[in-house]
Amino acid sequence: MSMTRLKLSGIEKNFGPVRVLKDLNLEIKSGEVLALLGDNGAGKSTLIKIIAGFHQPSAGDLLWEGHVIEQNNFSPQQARAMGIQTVYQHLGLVDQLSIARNFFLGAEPIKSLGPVKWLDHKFMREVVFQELTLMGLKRKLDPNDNVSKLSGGERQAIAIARARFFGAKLLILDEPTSALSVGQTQAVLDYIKEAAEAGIAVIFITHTLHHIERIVDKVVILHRGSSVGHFEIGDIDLKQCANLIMHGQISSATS
Amino acid sequence: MRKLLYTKEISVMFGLVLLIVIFSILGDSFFSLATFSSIASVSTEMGILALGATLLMIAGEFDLSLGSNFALSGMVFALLTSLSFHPLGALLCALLCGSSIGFINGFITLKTRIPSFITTLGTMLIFRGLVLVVTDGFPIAAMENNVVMQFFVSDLGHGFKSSLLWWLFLSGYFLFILNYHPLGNLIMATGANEEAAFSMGVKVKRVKMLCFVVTGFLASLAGVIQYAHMMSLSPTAGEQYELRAIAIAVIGGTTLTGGSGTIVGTVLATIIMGVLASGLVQAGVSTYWFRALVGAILVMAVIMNTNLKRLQAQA
Repeated sequence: MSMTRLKLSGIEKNFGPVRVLKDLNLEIKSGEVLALLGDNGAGKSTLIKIIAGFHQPSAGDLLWEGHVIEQNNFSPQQARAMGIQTVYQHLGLVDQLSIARNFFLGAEPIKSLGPVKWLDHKFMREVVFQELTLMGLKRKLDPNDNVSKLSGGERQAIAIARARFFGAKLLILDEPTSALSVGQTQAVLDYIKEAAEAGIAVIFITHTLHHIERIVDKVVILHRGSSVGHFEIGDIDLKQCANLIMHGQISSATS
Repeated sequence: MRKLLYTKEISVMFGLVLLIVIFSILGDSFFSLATFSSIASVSTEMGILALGATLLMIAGEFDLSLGSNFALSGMVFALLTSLSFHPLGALLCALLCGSSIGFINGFITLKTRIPSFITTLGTMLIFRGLVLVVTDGFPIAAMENNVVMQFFVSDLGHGFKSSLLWWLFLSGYFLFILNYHPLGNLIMATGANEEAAFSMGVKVKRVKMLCFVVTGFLASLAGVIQYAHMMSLSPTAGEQYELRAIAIAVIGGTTLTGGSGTIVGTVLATIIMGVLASGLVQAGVSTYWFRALVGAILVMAVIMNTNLKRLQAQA
């Protein structure tokens, strides 16, 4: 039975006088893939940053597995500990570090002898090698390679593998398929589908439903900070979706 | 060979060997233990300062107050021992002074979110001014040696001082921290991409603060060692050391944008400075050329490192 992972009720966010989010509600269950759609400036990124502990909402509650999250000490670190793993579009990985170091950033495995502690490089390499093999990447990657050498699809794969390895219950992906080739996009969508089948709830941020219909269960559309639509995937077509994104209503104003 | 070519420190290693060869040809007596001990003695304090500068630059911040901190903390040690404080207590106070300056730099930078370049430019002037006020512009000289001073600069034979071992020990320690300790991962990630590190749950402010304090601590240690070494300290001691420390870090391959740098590179670049200083004297060239040459090496090193990185990225 799938249980509710995250519920947002009445979320508002103001940056000074600017109202970025207005009375936002949504709910996601384990194993579900929710697409969060909206144009630039609709408030998608602000919303996921609130869920990830980056920003605090100006009003409203986040409920995690039925319990209200205390906002005072909610941080990215705590979000990670609870099982909310976020893969940001541009901030996913640190270019200058190796794949292995990125994979374990902030949760480094340690070996110790008395008071002396050091990184367990061998364990790091082995786990990363194993996880990358599980993801079924086409190109063989060396865990010691710098992330700067990777393609966009490979970066997403590593970020998703990392989230899964650290026990993600909710995986948030910020435009994971933007700037990817068609082949890479299909591969990334497959990773997401596998993650959902393993019981992970996935929130997927994107500009368009095109390409991703096959893996999405639910669609939430944001327009200028408000939710203008909440659909099961079968109940909306691409044209209606585009109208909601652009105009905030289901039929185009001009037609 | 291929692997060697792709190590980060290759250009600085090459530069060092080249300089040693040139000076060995120019001056007959260059390649000798006496020269090496003099190189070691001019390199030690600078080397310790450069370790701090490197660490902080990898974390994505600067400390221009290194030189002033060096003088002020050295002065604290000098004044307290001349007032017949216990030398160990005086050492503790000096190190506390240096660490506090690091803390102040970190606190101002991280709380007010102004660039550390500006914060530490300010504290550089403030603490230099303080040194001048306290000493009235006169140097302080030691009447007699004490335990701490002997500990730092006892003779190891052939003119080598124990401070050399301290520098090497600290270099080894930071090499370990950066490459083999979880903290190193956090420091590099913070310097390379602060937001990404933060989003992965790294406490970036705490990491940066730690680096500021450690850098301040190292500056004060270098100040005390210099005083022990010279048996006196001028109120203008350490002027421009902050720039030289940054130059050394950059020659060693540390980037100004944070996130990458190596301790081995910094140590080698420190030795390059020492070789240059001693080599010029022995070759009979005016030492006034020293700064000009350091500048030339700095620019050449960055050009080499940048091109090497491009080559490595293509490979």
